[in-house]
Amino acid sequence: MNYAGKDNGTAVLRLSGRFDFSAFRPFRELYEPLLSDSDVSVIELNFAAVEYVDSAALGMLLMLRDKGEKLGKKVVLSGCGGNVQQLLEVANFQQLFEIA
Amino acid sequence: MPDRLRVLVADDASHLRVLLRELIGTLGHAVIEAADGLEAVAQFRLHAPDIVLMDMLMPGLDGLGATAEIRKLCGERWVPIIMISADDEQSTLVNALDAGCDDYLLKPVNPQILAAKIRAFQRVADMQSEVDRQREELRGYRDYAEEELSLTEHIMARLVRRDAQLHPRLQVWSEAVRGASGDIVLSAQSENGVTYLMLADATGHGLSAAVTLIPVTNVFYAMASKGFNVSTIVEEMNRQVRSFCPVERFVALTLVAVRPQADVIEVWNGGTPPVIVFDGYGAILRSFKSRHLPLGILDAGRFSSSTEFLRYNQDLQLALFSDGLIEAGRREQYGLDRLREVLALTPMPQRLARLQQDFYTFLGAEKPHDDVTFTLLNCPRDMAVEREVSGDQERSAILEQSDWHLDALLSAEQLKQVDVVPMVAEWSHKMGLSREIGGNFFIVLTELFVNALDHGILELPSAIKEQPDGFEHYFQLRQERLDNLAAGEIHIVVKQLRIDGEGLLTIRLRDSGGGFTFGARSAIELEANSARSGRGIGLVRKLCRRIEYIGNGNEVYAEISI
Repeated sequence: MNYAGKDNGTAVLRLSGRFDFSAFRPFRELYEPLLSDSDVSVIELNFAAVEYVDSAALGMLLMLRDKGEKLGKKVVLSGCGGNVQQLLEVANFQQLFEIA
Repeated sequence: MPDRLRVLVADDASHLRVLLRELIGTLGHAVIEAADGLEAVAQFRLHAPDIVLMDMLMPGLDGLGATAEIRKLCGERWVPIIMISADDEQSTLVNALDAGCDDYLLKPVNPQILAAKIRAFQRVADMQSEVDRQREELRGYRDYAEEELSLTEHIMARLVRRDAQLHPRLQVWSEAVRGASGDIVLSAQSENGVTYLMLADATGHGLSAAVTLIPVTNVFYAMASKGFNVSTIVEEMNRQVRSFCPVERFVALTLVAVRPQADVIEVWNGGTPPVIVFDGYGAILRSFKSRHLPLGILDAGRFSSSTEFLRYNQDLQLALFSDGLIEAGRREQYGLDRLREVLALTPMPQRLARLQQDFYTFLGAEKPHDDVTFTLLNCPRDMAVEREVSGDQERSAILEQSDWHLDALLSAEQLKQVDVVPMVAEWSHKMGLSREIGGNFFIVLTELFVNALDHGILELPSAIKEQPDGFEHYFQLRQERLDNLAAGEIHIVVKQLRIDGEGLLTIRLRDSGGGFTFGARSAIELEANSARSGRGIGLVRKLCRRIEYIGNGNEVYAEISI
């Protein structure tokens, strides 16, 4: 996963591979600087290169959403397909996140 | 390694020992001396030095022999040994290293080289002790993890209450990824004959999953046995998980209630795969998909506890499962389609065995990467109203035979927000109503209360239920009217008393509904409707020794013998 830069207040993180609990630390290291960046108002997580997510990963999304909310930042999900879309749908995460 | 080292110097030539002692002393280290190999071993054992300088040629046990002995004494601890010799033959060097030496110094000893080597070994020894420390730490973690696992197994085993054994019509298959599963299946029977089935899948595995399941399980057993509504139960579960657990720890859950009196299945699904309903021939009648977020994410204000219903008039089988089953497989997932097909093509009694066989064939040597849980519940058309009479506490016969009465007036807000019948039933138990009678009382009260609310207050005609899709429509309309209810009252009076030595429980229920003034609702019609749209009122008639409608049908009086 990597930071793909920001544009007009939206910072994009490209996630990749297996997005599960093992991604906890690298994911946090990527999003933390964005939370403290006052220019960033939207954090977009792009799932296009993600092969697999599990419920622990959904937990990480909730955690980021919670932290972002306190700082007035929105979390948006994009590039969701296959297993990712399936899991988000079953968990009804479209009720919580804008899915682009 | 400390800055001031203790260096063991083994040399049979005393002048060389003096020389080395001086040299090492100026570097700030202490010296322990030995005049031959045997003394070197003895001194090592006694003082446990940090570094050893070993002369190669000594009388008795030579440098190589002493080195081998010292290595045996060290065990897991690593101590650098430097061999000192005048011989620079390649074979001698090789022998020294093979015997367990770490380095080699040529005579005459160059002071600067000796100082540099000691410094180098000090660094290596520091690294080595760091490795030792980490190894110990890892061992500690491993022990801790094992302890946690056994605690988790203990908790998970206790969560499935032993006195509430799995329902005889329920089959459960579960396979945990590591030690303890994060999935749990529970079933319970309420006193009014409702079968509850719950499948929960907590985030993660092991202890963290078990901890989030504790509040869910406690709420399930406490509320299901008392016959609370599915909505009321999931609201309480959500509140508990949210107050106990951090935001990233949530619980996906399906709660099913099967009500044999009304031939209705009610489902709330938040974050688990669909509940599939099969008929006796394997056709899929209905899939209850996840309509809600899992428990523990939304606050009470935003949480939705709305449920879905299925009315049935034939033998059914319900399949509930966690996502670990359909997502198993690395390259290709087992999948919902394959699961549906296998179940549909197999006769009811063999479904579980056939599914397991197909699943393991699909996986081959692979292991599922998430906990796998699958359950089947049979719901026969003519399911007897089974009730669990829980012998929870010893009650005194005096309490059960004493008189009491309850008089409750419920206004619109209570009718909207309170799950009234289980509360009245629970209160009556506390007053002394025996558990045996309690079940019948619960069934009668439920039936009379639902009639008063649905037909009296909400003015819902039973006939809607007879239309195609009428049942869903009925419940939708009921919810709408209840949400918009501005005025209305139900007055409940329950009495336990003894007349001529005979125990009697009386129920009087009056609603403020105006339906009867329109002439659309008479006692007879109401009874007839109830008889058509459920088995409810017929059962009530059997359970009561007397039942009569009073006035225009907005009041009902019933007596149960005790």
